[in-house]
Amino acid sequence: MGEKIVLFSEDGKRSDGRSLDELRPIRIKVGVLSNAQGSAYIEQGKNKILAAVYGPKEALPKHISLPDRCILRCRYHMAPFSTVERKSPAPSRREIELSMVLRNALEPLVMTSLFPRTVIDIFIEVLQADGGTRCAGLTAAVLALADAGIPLKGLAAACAVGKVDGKIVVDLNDLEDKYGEADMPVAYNPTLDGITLLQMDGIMSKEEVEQALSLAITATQKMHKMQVDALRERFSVQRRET
Amino acid sequence: MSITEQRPIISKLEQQELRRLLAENKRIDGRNPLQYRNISVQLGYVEKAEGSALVELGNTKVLAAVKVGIAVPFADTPNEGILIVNAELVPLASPVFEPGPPSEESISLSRYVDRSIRESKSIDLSSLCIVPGRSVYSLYVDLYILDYDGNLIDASVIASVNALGVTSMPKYVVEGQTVKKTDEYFKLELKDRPVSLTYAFLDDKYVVDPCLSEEYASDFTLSMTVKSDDRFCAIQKNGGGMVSPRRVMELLDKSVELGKELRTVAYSRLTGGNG
Amino acid sequence: MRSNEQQQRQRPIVVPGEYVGDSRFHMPGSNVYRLSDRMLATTVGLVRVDGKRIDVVALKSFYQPKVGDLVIGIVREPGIAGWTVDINSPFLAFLPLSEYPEKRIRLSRDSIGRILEAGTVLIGRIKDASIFSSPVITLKGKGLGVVSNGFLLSITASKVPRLIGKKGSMLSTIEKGANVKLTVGQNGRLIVHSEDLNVVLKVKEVIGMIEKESHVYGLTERVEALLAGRRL
Repeated sequence: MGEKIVLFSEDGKRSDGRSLDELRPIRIKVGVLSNAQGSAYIEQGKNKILAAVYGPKEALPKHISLPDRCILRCRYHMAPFSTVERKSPAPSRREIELSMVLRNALEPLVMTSLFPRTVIDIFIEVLQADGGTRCAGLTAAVLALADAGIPLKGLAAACAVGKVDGKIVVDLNDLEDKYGEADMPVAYNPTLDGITLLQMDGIMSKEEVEQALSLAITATQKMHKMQVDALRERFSVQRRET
Repeated sequence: MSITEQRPIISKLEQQELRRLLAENKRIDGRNPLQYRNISVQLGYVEKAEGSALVELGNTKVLAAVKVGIAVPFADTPNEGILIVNAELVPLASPVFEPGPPSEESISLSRYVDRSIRESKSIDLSSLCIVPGRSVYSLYVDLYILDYDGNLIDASVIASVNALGVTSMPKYVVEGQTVKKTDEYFKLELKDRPVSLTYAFLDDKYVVDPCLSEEYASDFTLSMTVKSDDRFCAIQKNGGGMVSPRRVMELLDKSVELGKELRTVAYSRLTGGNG
Repeated sequence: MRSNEQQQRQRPIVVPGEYVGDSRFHMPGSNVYRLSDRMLATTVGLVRVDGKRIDVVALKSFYQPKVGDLVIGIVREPGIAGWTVDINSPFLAFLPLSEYPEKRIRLSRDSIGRILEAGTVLIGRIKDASIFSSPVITLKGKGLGVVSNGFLLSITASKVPRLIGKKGSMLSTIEKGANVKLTVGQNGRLIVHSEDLNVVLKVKEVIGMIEKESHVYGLTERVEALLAGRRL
């Protein structure tokens, strides 16, 4: 039998020393790639994720284009070296599902009717995974869209909340994701008070889901502030030494 | 790569009608917003499967069949049986289903049904071990969509649980170094009977169990799977659009109520246990 | 002399979804949308109030063709009765044969390809622009046509007005300071009419400064200083 996984220490702190509603350390940088129209990089705990946007550009082949709005093409992909066991580069069923879930979470933010017959390509690459990759990926992808100058109704940030040892916690790390009782990723746009991504698996009572949802909203609002700061920093000028 | 779908065009007239009716809490087929269509279940529909059920939810028809075998367990769960759910959007079911490798819709459907069964612990996978680390039972649940008139998710969950509820497991015994199949069978024990409830959102209003035109006209759907003890084991927003946190909380409430009724109707044919 | 701090003072940057005004007292301009009585920005940019109208000048954007705009395009490929032209925009433009300034043209696909090869740089004007079909450009007009010499540079399209300046003031500052003629397309491309690499590098540095610092006060002075410091 393997050693017992310790998810909470005696003083109530989580396996990585955090309190229940504490986010992992987050670092965001916008505008990191030279070829993409827009790009962003996020580090959240040990997650390292890169997002890039190309477009809007002419949608080809023509049969995929829509006459009155732009379409989105989204690819969520994990690098083979991103996990402990090497992951095959071919898209897994999970990546196929998440590419769709993330596209559906980003699309409502884009003012698509401004660019008929075009396509916006969004690439999310997980370079190092540590739980909550779809959320961190979404947070970065939104910034990549803003960096590309694509008109958005607002920004959205995402965070996975869940239940570990009976307690509702914010921003699950890999260990908590694997051994906890429930995992609920949420993406929220504060401007329109709208959730664009919502999934849950595990076991949670109605009250627990409600509590987790409230914590998720608060957490994503904190992350939204970080997004705003990262965008402002991207476009402001470094203090020059004269 | 996930690409924005080319949705079949729904006429402006139909869109208008749906919304106008909804404003008066009416629906295009006469139902009220929180009413399910007629459900009929035929157990043991295909004999060569160890368990099966054909479910009709309105015109939507889903056939779930369970095939039992033995397999090498996964490395990280050496004492657990294997459960694999696979949904096939059979081309004859709809003009929009095309033959070919699994689409993102079929994968998403498979994975949601899988989570609904797995997370609810409806099957105790640890009771399906024959030789730890070497040989376990494998349960393949194949969902065959035969007719698509909206709400594949709820129909598929109901079909899967019914099929598992009548699954007869061939008994395997250890004989020296090998595992041998006997002529005996034992019934697979169903520990829970989860139901999923799917709501389609049109503007700010929602309807449960959307039919095809409601699904096409909607901005997105929200599915919630509830267990017999009223706890949730899966939630998924499908499609674009946005939903307010307040609405989600409202639906959590409604789902617990509706789940109780739906469970009674959907699993009425399964004998014993709690309905 | 203004202090360093004042010189470095930047106008506040707004981000998508940020509140920029009340729609009961103002009208939404470019990159602004209305949500009941709030007006919100759709892109990262600077707020500009123009009477009753509030615009957000995007700090980064792509070019959206407008009729009458001067654009610098690159021929993509010959089509039927014309050429598709890349105008650095989400939409590919079309140059019809009828807008090509030469009288006798044989109408075969091969000859169309030989008149203007893929990769040829053109200075044209937008003749037709609707978001529902490809924008149309023309080469008929003064100063329009094929560019055979010079260097092609680019700047983000939303900065072009800043590059040109009020009544062309910034542009003439640069042309005088670097002693070179420039042709600036509204689509964020420009031609430096010179064969001298040093001149081109100087211009490149200047447009880089404009691109990064267009929202910082005192830009004109800094451009002048940059040009003066590097005068050969």
